[in-house]
Amino acid sequence: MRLALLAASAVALACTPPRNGSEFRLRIALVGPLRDPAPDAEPSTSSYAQEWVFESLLRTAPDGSAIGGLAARFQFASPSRVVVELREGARFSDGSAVTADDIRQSLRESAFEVREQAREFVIESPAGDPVEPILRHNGIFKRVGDKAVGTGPFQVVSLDPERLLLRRSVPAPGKIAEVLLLGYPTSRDPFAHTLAGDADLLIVDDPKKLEFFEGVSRLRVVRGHGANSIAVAVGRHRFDRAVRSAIAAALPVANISRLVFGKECLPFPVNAGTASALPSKPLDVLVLQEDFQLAHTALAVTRALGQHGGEIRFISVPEAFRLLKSQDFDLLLLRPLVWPPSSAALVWGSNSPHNFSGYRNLNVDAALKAGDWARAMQELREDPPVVFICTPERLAVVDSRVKNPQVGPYGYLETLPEWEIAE
Amino acid sequence: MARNLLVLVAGSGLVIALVGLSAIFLLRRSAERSSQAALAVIAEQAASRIGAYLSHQREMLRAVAGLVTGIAEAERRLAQVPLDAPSLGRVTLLTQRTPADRLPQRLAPADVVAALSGREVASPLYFREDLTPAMDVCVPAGATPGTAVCATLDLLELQRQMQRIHVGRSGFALAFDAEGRLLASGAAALRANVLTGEPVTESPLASRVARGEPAPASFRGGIDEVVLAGWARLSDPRWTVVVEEPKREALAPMRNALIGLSAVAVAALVVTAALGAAQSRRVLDTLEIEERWRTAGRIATGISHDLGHRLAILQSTAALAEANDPAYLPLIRDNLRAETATLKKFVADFADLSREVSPDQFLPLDLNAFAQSVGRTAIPHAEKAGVQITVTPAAETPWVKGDRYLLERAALNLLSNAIEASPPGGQVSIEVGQRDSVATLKVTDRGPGIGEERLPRIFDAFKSTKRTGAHVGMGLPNVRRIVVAHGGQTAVESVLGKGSTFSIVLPLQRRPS
Repeated sequence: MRLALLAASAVALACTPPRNGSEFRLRIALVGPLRDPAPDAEPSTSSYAQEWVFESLLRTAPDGSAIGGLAARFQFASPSRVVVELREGARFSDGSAVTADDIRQSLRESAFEVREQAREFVIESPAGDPVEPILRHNGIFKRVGDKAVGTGPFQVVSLDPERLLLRRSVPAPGKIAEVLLLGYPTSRDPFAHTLAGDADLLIVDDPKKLEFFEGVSRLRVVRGHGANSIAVAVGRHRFDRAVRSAIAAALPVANISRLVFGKECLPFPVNAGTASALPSKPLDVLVLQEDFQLAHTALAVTRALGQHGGEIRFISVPEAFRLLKSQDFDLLLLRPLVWPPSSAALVWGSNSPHNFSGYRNLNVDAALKAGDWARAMQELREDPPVVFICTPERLAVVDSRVKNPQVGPYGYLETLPEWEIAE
Repeated sequence: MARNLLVLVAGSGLVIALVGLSAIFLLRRSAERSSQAALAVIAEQAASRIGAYLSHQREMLRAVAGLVTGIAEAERRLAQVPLDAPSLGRVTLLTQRTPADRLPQRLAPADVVAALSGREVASPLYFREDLTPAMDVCVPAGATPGTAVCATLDLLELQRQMQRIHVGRSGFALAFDAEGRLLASGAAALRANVLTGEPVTESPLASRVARGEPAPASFRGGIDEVVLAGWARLSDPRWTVVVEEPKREALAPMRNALIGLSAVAVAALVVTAALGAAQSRRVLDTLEIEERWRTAGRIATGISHDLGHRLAILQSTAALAEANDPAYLPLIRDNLRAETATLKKFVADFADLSREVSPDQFLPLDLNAFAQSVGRTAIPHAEKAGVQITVTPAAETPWVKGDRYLLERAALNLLSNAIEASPPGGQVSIEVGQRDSVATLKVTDRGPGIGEERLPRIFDAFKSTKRTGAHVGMGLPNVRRIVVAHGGQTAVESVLGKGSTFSIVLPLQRRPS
């Protein structure tokens, strides 16, 4: 009898479904080889995982404002100086405490000064640069040997160019236990493998592709507002402020947006000014190879410019970077960051490490130093380095068992650790 | 009669079941054909829509090409076309001087030459880097010989068309090229194969259909389930469209209807059988009661006749006794003895009738020894009648099982009848035999025999052939009752003037160990 009861208990245990979340592994299909996701490593496809392993001090709220991340509390004395208090019990995944040196090291690109006072840290930019956007996006980490450790809920378990496995440091019932990033060689592979059921999450860059997922009950579509816009950069080396303003005024952004993207792209407001100062020579439009959305936008731009529209030429990514630095082009289509406002403004700050185009505008700098992001963006429109067309939505398809998937607010999948798994 | 009734009901049920199964089979076939025909119609419509879409795109491209009047500005104008006609994708001008890197991606060199010589050409379907299904098509440019206008047709519409087709709950459509490559899939489970180019189960079937071979109407499809399918072909390009529906789903309405009908039919059959059985039982009960009354009547007739006879003799004897004449005393004594013996036998016969046969108390019986024993028992009776008894045993001892007392009563009854039927100096023989699986005990006399008309009812109660007034006709019915209760049979053969043979036939048993 006792033996029978034992056997029955064993069978009952074997038949008990696994507790959801505690064993749930989410597989994400991506393009390109996977590398170390550490903040100081070379950027790669693995960067999607960065926020889950390496928390930043601040995070971005859905309305674009800053909220606490690793820092439980923060107080800005000025845009360039903040006092933060870390979350109670915040430690690296190896168990060590977070020190001022760790924070300083993590933010070394920005050359911030970091001092520890009692249980607080004072972070300040000696150059007077705004610290808030940097604290939002730079993960705090520490090198232990050749491995970087963070304070985030996940840690790296294994890594090779095709697979990056992350596991939750502390089990969280009902939530994702493991994340497996799968790196595929071509953009077609993640798509096909997700359709075939080999992956549970796919980042979708074109709304048209969502049509393939119609009727796939295993997956659900998740939409979020975009952080990067479609924009036309105007070569500052060739055109002065007046011509650039005239070009901005000549481009009917709403029409272009509707023509290319339909309703899938939120258009920017119409640019003020007159198109009278347009150059007589037709404006050539450069566009990245194999970016069909940008290629289509280029067609719309040349048509909108009418007789002022020139040739469309396709360029490679390195050439695009080179031209961005030199600013020696007529028009160049790109996708600059436009959200959250503080980060978007920082892209155009004279001394910002994120300013690849070398744009310099004292008014923008002043607004940034004052922490007035809205004014900084307004100043940009007065002296436009780019003409913003519209901001496409961010899209993903996610396993239907995930109850509350979300893209954004800033990092594409930054809220993944909070996603809950349905019964 | 009850068994006959059961056989009748079972036979009717079997016939009804066979008819029902045939009807189900025919209905199923009919439903399958009807579903396949419907799927084929949907496939034809889908193929027709795809054909119309492709034809419309080409028409649009021809219209655009017709407007090309010169090389200058043409390229720029053509490049703008997709803004107004997105489905044409990238539109370019093809001339002898078009550099190699600007030729349509998937057009074979021979096709480029053909396009420049004024022919319409098209590439196979392929997927662009943005995963849009596309096809390069070139048509001659209107007024500029030696040039063509080429477009990368956006064929996402093909995928849309397939995804729009929903048959039932999970029916879907697939499109294949002539080689069986899956071009578009309405089934989510197979859509990855569209991108990877990996063949699906239907791929070889599709390429055969594209070659004009007969289209299979039912097979195990790519969704790993048996499906019903309707096929359609496009002539240009040589694509095929198949619309599939899982068989279980397609035939579900028919199956549900059949289940309903079958349930009703079975219920009707059960009710009919129950009513029939109840009615039959009533009829049988009525017949049984009538038969009992008839039997009782026969018994009453026999008893009243025989007892009346006995009573008349006893009344006569009493009258002789009242005469107080000593001369009558011997007659009175003989009468009383004879009548007492007759009444005693009468009672014995009835006592035999009341003795139940219990098969669980049967014992093995050596029929040879049994015959000898019965023969010996009957010797006094035979000697009195001046009849000789002979017993002929079987060569090999036949064993039977039974109630020895009852079987002895039955055999003695036959023997007694044979002795009484034999003339003085006659002979009665007992013969034991065996054949196949039965043992026989035959009693033969050389008496007057029994008329042929009496033989069929010889074993019925109160049908005695003896008209001596000393027999009530219970003997032979009792013999038959006993033998039948032992799983055996009785038989009689008789020839008038030559004698009769009564047989007891019993099942043979193994020799006891």
